[in-house]
Amino acid sequence: MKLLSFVPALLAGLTLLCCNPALGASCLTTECHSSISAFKYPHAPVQDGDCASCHEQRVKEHPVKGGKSFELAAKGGALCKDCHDGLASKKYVHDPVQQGDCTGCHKPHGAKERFLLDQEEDRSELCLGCHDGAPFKAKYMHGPAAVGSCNACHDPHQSSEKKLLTGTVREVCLKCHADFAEAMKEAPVAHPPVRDDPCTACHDPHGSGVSMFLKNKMPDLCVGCHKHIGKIVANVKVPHKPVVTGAGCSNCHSSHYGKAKGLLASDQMGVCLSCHGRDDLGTPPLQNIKKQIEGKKMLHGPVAKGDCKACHDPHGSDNFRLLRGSYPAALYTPYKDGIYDGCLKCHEKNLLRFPETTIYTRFRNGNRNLHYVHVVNRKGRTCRICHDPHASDGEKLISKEGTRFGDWKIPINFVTNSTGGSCAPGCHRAFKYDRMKAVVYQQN
Amino acid sequence: MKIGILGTVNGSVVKKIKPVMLMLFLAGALSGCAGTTASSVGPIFFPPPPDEPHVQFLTGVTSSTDLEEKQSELSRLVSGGSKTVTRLGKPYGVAVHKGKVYVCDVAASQVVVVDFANKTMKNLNDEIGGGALKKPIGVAVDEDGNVYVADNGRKDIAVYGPDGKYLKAYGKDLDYSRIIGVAAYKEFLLALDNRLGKIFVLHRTTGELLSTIGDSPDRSKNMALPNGITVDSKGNIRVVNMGNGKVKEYDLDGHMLSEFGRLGDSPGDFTRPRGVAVDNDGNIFVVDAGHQVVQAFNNERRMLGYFGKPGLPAGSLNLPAGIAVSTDNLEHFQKLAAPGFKLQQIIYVVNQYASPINYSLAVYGLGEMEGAAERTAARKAEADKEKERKAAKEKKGAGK
Repeated sequence: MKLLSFVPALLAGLTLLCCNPALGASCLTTECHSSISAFKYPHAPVQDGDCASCHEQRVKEHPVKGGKSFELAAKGGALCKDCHDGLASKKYVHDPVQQGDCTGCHKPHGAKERFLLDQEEDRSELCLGCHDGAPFKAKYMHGPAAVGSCNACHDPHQSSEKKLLTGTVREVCLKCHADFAEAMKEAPVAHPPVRDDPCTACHDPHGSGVSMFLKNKMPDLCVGCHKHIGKIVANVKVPHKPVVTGAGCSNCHSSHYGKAKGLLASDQMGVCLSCHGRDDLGTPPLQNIKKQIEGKKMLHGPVAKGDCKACHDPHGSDNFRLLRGSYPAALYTPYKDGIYDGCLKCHEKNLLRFPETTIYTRFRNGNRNLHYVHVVNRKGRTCRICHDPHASDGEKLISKEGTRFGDWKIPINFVTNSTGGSCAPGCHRAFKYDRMKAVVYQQN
Repeated sequence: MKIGILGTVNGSVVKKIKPVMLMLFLAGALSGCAGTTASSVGPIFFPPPPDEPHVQFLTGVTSSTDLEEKQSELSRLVSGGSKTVTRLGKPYGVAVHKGKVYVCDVAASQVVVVDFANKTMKNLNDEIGGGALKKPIGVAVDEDGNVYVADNGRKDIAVYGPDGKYLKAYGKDLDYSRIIGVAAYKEFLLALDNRLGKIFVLHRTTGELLSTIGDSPDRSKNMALPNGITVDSKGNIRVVNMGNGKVKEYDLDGHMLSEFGRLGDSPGDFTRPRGVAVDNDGNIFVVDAGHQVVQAFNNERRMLGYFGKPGLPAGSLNLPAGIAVSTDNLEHFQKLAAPGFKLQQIIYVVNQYASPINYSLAVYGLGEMEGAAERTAARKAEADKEKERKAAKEKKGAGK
């Protein structure tokens, strides 16, 4: 009897033992759930055979055909929260985390890869299960987006930053682009949006159809902020080719930081001469301005200062040769007020207005304005027939070797003295002029 | 003024006043005849508040007593002595050189020299005979300090040395009708003939006629009843024409370079334009005796504003005529400017008639209130924003 009196207690003890976590191993060792123990990366409780930390036996019999004897200890995220707390405490929480849908991403028992995920480093399959995959098929892709390393920038659970970024946009970008951060710090000039704004102001961090996954092509992207340049580029009659072809603005400007004002790669003239100092660019080739300037005694004021921009608008212009003011494209143009504004915005604006003057030019015979004589009639000579606009070996930018006239160079043979001078050009017979005592010319 | 009744009735005639006898009258003069001054009504700004001020009426002078400290009158009564009072009667032309203001007084047949910094007001020349003026109407001072006076009574241009001593006269041999204005530039002396509508360009030191301006076959380039003349730092001449309300710009060769203005009563129009002055920035100031204002234009001939409107308690104009601009003595006049109002130049305007609220020679300061640039920038930014808001609203409206 005494022995029989122990039987209920023994049965109760066995029942308890069956439900005891320590006996969980039996769940996995039996044929029924053996697959759960086969994961490469099992969930820690699984590894410990601690099935009861998640599963609770509600019905004594197990297994029950057509029924369930175990239930989850809690529903949704509440089940995971006991161990994995604090994953929804920051300002921005990933929606499945907020909803407690942990199993939307994670395998609860174990997975092929770490973090109870079936995906390796390439998470694209996982993330694009919900998120739109279109931006990830663009022609030009950002490295991490291209290989599905979403986690390189985003925290999958929560963040104090928008878009679940692991830090501010700048921090996230410069965390990898550390060399860029270093170089920018050293650079004398930085593009203000690069210095102050998120990188995403210009770049699409996933990818885009434009090289360097820019949000828009150049120059459209740049003129979004640089509106006045946009107006020039859109409306000019004479565009500057680099602005509208190839790399656009980047042909001359660095987008991020640079050594010189205007984010130029070097000083202004250096940048211009990188194209306009060659013989092999364009058909017919661009004039080699570098050669025109080199070794010349007399430089036009702005050229001497390296200021090409003083006369030319590098973004485009309505005028001949991208000049900032009007200037006739034709070699011979009868003078009218305003047609030489490009030159006369600096030079005496009344230079060519009056047949007689004592004030506006020293190139006169008595009071007769010889500049006027040259420009006024039907065959009005443009400035460039006598003057070289960039540099010259003679005074008044009148070249000793002559000025270009198609294949020929017209010699000018210009000489000055204290009260006048003389010319013996390829245009007409030799003439002298004198401001004090006018030379009388023989009429034939 | 009571001083005037007993002492100087007319112009700059010098009279002695015996202070003891005039004690009662002087007491009255001190209390009742001070007129309405800028200091008694607060700073007089143009344009008036709430606009950003650009010109302040600073002070003025009708008689040499205006330059004196008011308290000194009483103390002098006690201590005795005599004083000389110089008073402007009916002034017209004005010029300024090294801080001294030269005013033609037609009624008194004098050019009066006012030195605000040294508080003096004296006749240029008190000689009788060849050096005496009759109806001086226009005055110019060259870079050496020589004074040229266009005199309608003498029918010539009287030339005085820097010390005021009469030297010679120009223009007796000119074929002219009525010289009413003179201007000096480098080696040139310009004499404006009001009736012929011409400018005679004379050699400044010899008086030789070099050329005549205003003979163009294109009559639109000539003058029409010219009244005021000035020459700017580049040698360009501005002439105000009463006949057609135009201000014309000529170079020294006589080419007309530009013109602007018309007769009318809109801002920028003229009715009876008289004197003209150009500052070193190329801003043009034109006196109008009809509107009784000075209108200012920038070097592109765009109107900037006006000052001296009639009907003000102080700082208005009363039949104004000549005008001169200078940057001399800024420090002295800065003391009279309102706190924070930084003077850039001084503008002298002659009133033909003085009154309790008008001095014969009124002094205005062109300047800027502290922080004006920032306020202008802020206003511009606000206006731009408003424009953008409006544009966005219109766009939205169009979208619907």
